[in-house]
This record gives sequence, C-alpha cells and structure tokens, in this order.
Amino acid sequence: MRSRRDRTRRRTGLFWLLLVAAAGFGFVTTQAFTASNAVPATNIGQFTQAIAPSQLEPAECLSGGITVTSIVAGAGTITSTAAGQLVLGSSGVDTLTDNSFGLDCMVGGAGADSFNGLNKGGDLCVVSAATTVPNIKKCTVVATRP
Amino acid sequence: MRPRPLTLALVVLAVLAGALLGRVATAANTVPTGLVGQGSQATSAYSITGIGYTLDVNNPQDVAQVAFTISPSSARVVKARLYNAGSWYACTNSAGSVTCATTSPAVPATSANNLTVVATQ
Repeated sequence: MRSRRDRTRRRTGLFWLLLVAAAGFGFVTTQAFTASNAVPATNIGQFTQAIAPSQLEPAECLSGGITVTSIVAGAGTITSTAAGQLVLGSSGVDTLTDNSFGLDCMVGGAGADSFNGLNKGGDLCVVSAATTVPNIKKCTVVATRP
Repeated sequence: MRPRPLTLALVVLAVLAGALLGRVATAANTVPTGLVGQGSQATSAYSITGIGYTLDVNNPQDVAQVAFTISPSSARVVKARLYNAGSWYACTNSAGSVTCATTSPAVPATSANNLTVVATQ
C-alpha cells in the first residue's frame, strides 16, 4: 500500500517536472525566434533656409562694401530700381545702368556689355573680357569673368 | 505505458504558455537611436553650414550651383531646390562637402528665395 502511494507521488512529481520542462521549452524556443529582431538605424532630414539677395552676390562686391538687398535681372537694357541692388545681365550684349538710387553691384555676364554707374561713382562691376574700357563708366571693376 | 490524453493536453498547454511568456518577455525590443526631422532648420537631423551660391558666369541671371557642408557627412542621397515648388537637383557629397548643380532646368536668381535640402542615408 505504501509503495503504491510512493509510486503515485513519484508519478505526480514527474508529471510536474514534465510540465515545467515543457513550459521552459516553449519559452526558450520563442526567445530564439524573437531575439534576432533588429531595426536598422535610418537617417533622414530636411533643411530649409530663406535665400537673401546678398547670398547670391559676388564675393568681390561684398568685400567691396556693398551688401545688396534686392535683385534685378534681364537681357538687353537692365536698370536698377533701388539702392543696394544686384543688377544682373545675360550671356548677350547688355547695358547695365544704375538709376541713381544708390550703390549697386552690376554683373554683366558674357558679351561686350556696357556699364553706366552712379554719377558720383562707387558702383562695383563684374565685367567680361569682351567688355571694352570705354564702355565702363563710373564703375569700379572688381572682377573680370568670363 | 501510453500517456493519458489529459496529460498530453496539459503538456501542450504548458508549451503554449511558455511560448506566450517568451513573446511577452521579448516585446520590448530595443530600437537603435535614429535621426529624423522635417520642416525647419531647428528640427533637421542634418546640420547644413557654409552655404554658398554661384551665379552662372556667362549668364549671371541664373544660379549655377549651391554648395554647403553637411553633417553627419555620411548622407548618401542629397537633393536641393532653390524655391518652393521648384525643381529638385541631385547633389554630390564628398566627405561632407556637397555641391548641387542647378543648371538644368535653370533657376533665375530672382526666383531663388528659399533653399530646401533633403538628405538620407
């Protein structure tokens, strides 16, 4: 009778051991499947900044003391409409004129351009190699290109 | 000795319970630190400095290129545009020194009023 009870106890013990082992097996198996999850690092970004006219100004004009606040551009005849303006020509033959509002930076581009600076002087000009000296009036040449 | 059906069912239930416990234990996966940003300089994941624009030498009405320094320098794809709703231009990143040719299509200097740069690894 006693040995039968012992056998029953042993079986019950084995049964619980088996249950714990089965649960452990399930846990470890799941760990093995999920342990290798990896999320790759990703970098992405956007940057925005307003562009001031002076950021487009040639360095020669900036270092020459003119900081422009607006831009006027075109082909043919281009005349400034405000003081401290960046006056931009084209690849053709242009005539760039300061309309006496104040000091400007004039950039002619390619072509045999003409420059008409402020009467009292002080405008700065970037002229092309094709521009002849007589066509540069009252304007200080700060660079030659192209 | 054949196992009783109840015993088998309990063993299977134990396996399932263990698996469920394993799932719960691993639900808090660690995600590596990433950079993300949008919209403005303040929240950008990348730092853009030393921005410089170059006018077209022959036709200064147009902007020929924009150049800047990007950090982290590992940005693989960088694109830029010079005004809202303008064209996007592909850029070249050489160890953090980025140049973007803006010649095709041309960007008039009078239109270039807002630089937007997008970058990703």
